[in-house]
Amino acid sequence: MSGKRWLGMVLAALLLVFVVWALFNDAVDPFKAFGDRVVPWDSYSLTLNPRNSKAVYISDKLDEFDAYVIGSSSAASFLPEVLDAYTGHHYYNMFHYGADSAYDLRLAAWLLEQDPDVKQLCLVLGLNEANLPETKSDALDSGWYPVSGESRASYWAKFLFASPHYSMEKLSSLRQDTLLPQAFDVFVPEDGTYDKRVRDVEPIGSLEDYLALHGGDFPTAESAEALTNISPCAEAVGQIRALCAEKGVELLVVLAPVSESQLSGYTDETLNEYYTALSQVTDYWNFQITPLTFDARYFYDDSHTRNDTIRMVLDRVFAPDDEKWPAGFGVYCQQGSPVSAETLRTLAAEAGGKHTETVPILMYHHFVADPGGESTLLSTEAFAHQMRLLLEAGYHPVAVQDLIDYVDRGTPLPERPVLITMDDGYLSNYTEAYPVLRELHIPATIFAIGCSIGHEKYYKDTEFTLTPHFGQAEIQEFLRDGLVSVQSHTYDMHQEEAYESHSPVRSSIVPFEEESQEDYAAALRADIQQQNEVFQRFGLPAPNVLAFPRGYHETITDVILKEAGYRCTLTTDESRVNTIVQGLPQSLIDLGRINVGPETTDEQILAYLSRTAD
Amino acid sequence: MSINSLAFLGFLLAAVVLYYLLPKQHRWVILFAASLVFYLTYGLRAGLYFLVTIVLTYGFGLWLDRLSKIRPAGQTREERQAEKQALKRKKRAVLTAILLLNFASLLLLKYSASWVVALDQVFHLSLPVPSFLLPLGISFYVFQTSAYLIDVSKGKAAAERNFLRYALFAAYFPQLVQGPINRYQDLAPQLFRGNDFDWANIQNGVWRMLYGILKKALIADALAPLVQSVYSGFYDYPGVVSFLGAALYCLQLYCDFSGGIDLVCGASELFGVHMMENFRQPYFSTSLADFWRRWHISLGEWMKDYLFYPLALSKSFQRFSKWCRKVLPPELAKRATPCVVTFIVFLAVGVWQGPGLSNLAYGMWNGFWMSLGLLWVPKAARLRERYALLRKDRLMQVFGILRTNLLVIVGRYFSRATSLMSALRMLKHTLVRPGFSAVSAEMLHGLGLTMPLLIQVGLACAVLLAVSLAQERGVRVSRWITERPWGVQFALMFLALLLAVFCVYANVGYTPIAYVYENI
Amino acid sequence: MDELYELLEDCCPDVDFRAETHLIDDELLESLDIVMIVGELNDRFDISISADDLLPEHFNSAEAIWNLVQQRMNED
Repeated sequence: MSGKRWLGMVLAALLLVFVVWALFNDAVDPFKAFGDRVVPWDSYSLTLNPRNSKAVYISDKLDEFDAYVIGSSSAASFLPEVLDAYTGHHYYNMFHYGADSAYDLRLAAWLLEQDPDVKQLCLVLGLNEANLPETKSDALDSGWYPVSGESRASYWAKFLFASPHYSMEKLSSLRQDTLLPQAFDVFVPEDGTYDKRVRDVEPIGSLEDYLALHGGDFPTAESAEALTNISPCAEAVGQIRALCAEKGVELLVVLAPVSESQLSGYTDETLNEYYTALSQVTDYWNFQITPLTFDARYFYDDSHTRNDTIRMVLDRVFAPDDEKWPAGFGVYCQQGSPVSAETLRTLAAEAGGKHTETVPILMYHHFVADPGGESTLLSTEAFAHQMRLLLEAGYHPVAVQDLIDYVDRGTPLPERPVLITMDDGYLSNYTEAYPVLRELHIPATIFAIGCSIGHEKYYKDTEFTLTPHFGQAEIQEFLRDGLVSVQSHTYDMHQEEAYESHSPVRSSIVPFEEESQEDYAAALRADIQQQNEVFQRFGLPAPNVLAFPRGYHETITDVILKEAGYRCTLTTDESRVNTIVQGLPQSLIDLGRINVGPETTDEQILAYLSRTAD
Repeated sequence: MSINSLAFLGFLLAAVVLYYLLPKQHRWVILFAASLVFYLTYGLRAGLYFLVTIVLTYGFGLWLDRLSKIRPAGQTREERQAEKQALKRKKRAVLTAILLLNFASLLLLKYSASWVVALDQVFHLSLPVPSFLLPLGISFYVFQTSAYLIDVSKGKAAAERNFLRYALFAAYFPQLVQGPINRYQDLAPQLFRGNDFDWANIQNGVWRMLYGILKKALIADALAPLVQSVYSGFYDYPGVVSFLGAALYCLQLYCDFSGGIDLVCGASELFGVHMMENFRQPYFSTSLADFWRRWHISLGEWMKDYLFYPLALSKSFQRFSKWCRKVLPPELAKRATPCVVTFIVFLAVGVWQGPGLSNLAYGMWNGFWMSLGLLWVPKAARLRERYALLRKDRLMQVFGILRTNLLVIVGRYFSRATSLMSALRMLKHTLVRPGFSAVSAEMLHGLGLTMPLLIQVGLACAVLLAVSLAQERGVRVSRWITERPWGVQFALMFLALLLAVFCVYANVGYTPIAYVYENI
Repeated sequence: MDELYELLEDCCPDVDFRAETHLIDDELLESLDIVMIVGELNDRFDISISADDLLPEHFNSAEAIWNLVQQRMNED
């Protein structure tokens, strides 16, 4: 072969490589630049590049929505479901990475132009918007070309010849995909928010514990820096305001909560400069400095606010007169009259009272009137004695619903609250304990195994005998005065290995070894469904509290229970000090309990009750 | 500029085009300019240091050359003899001075920091630790220029008079990163004559570069993290995993070093400059001596010519030989000198590898087996006469290869370890707690030995093996390919380019790991 | 010459010195062997072969080695 022909052959091979490269990227399409039709995976492309993917995703669904959240990371937790409930609109969260106000403006303009029936825009701003410059238009994250204004040719070339690494990563991630989010699929495409299912069921207790776990995500700035992008940012906000006014669209501007960690990077002077510049162009809600700022538990990390924190923010914005949250929480600033950082700090300090409670929980099982020689059984007398003991020591037994109200609405709890719980649903709970509870007016929670309710003699359909469980008649009594709340100990995930004929046996609520997340989720959901049916059959309200059989559980358990409406779960972890936090439902998850048996002394009980975390 | 980068390819392409555009007598100027640019991308300070070395060795080369050319002018034979002796002494002094200077700078820059640290640990002097900028390829050009000076002083080579040409010889860019250590007599003519454009050079060069970059990226860099986690955390795994790690390190190192050499030799071939070969399928060696003739050949040859022979045939060792003959049985006596000198040479190889006792131990390990092998020869011959089994060539070859690789792998415990103690601990761990039964797929997976990696490395190694076998039979693979039908060539070229583009040049997920022998 | 063959075969029993004429080029002799052989030659014939004499052409065959030895013997 002659040299020239050889060179031609090499160039042809190279050309073919480029063709294959382009076809590969086009087919796998990790950025959703070409519609992602061959290997569709929206959550993945949104994670890789929310600017581009969201615009492409929404472009053929604009008629389903009439309101949009615009902003960057600080806007992530503005959940459309909460916004919709207050406004009656259909929101989509268009937030993107990069805190680039110039892009916010382009996006708002594009949405207003493309979607004729927009009713409302919610523009969320953080500190980074006033600090970061515009993203370069040739970068892979500059957005969809109709929005960014880039030429179609350069956009296509950019994504056809993006590094094949991205496409290969997508294919390899596809193999590792699970039910729960991983680093490569953190978005919910349907509403544009982050998939925070895992972070939203992490048990939250004392601030100390939280920082021990996540402290690294809340670095303190070493020195204060300037905000270098204030006027371009304010200018962009002003233009968005003008566009909205022109189209008759309502614009809501919110300065989202900022963690103390992030705030530490700026002086009040710098913040005031930002607040003043914004106030020249718009009205806005300012939540940057509130009592929550100084409690890291309200943040996922230094630049991401919890979904539940933003629930509180939206409560405040849309129901400002509801006194659920303290007065200093969020300030509305009229155009032209900004509120200074110093004022916000004062308000926060005034409002920042106690917003946590320590709640010890006692766990009982079976009682007998006369234990005789059997030292493993707790006598009715001992139980009555213990109840009197805690009342005399100044503890106030409360119901789980009281804890939920405290967390959801800030409803105050009595001093020294304590929770009394009984597992398994034995008949003795009615015959022995209930009279004592009634006499002393002590509320209690009983966790019944659904499939055992009413079984007085035998384990399920077998001939193995068991301790008798209460049934319809007792439940009627419980329902009558409401002192006892019957809750879930699972329908049938507390099986006795020796009595079951099948294998593996669900002796607790955790997945089997090697069980896929999907299979486990299906099994747990079915159990929850059966439990609901049983409760309905016995006239009980659907359970929303669950004690884990044997105390075991995993993250995915908590995720599925939360999804099914469970508000509170209990383990058998004696070491955990339960700290519940206003506004954070996660603080009701995986609560610890002490098991009280015949060997438990008064001193042990009192010592357990008196532990505090804060 | 990393030689793995796209920038290097662009730079190379420009240099090649300019090279062949110029008239032949000026072509070397392009090579000089390209070398200058290449070196300067690594920073000015390193360049300055290099310049000093070049100026010094250039000057001393001329001086030595002049001394070699002086003919004794005395009247009588005695006078001429005396003059000759005086000249010889002078030459020796000049040569010694420049060699000392050359190697002292190498030792100072490369080892002083670790020596100071070691001294500090023993005597607690809290000395300031010197930190020198280690110039690119320092040990390679120190060795190369030293060989030049020795050859000039012996009259084997004429000194280069043109400074820029000499600078090009010392700093020819393909050899800068990790050698090979070329000889002036071989390299200089090719650099200066202005090579004709030849498609065969281009074809061979392109294929060789592709082969080199893929070896490095698909095998060496893929294995590097795995090897790293074995060497740094071997205690967490059964001992047999340590051995596996060392074996994989052998593979990694070979693909890293020879891949880099293939890349630069291929690049050099584009200019029609054929550098010295550095490898000849080392893992097919049947003895450790064989291995060292196939592994890092340019260093081995250098050590042989400039350390081993001069030392072994020096007056001191001749006296030592004589003494041995008096006290040792003859069979041992005649092998004593080669044994001792071999040991010394391998100590030098160990020191060259880097500071620290583990490198010294690496040298000793090799020196020990090499010496033992020499002593074993007569014994082996007698055994062969007695036992027919030992005369089966095929069997002995396989046995030899296995034995040699075992020795090499154990040697790698030392050359890769961070300290002598950790190498010894790792060796002990391998022997005391092999724990074959504890090895599970899950554990290997945790180490990073995943299925995709296994497939990638496995396929790449299959190609590597096929190419090596062909080379072992004397086939020049790139030429073999260019003689195939064009459809086959096209398919192979497409595949190679696809891998190069997807895995290296357009792959943002790939960050080339520095060559192991870079900056050594 | 026979003395030389005996010496050589003593050093490297595996090499056929009577037939081979490319001892170095074919890598039948390695540096260790050469040093050993030179040491023996220097001792047996009382000559001095130095590192500068170590060229392939001097060691490719027994013949060549013999020539080198003769040359050095004549010099002294």
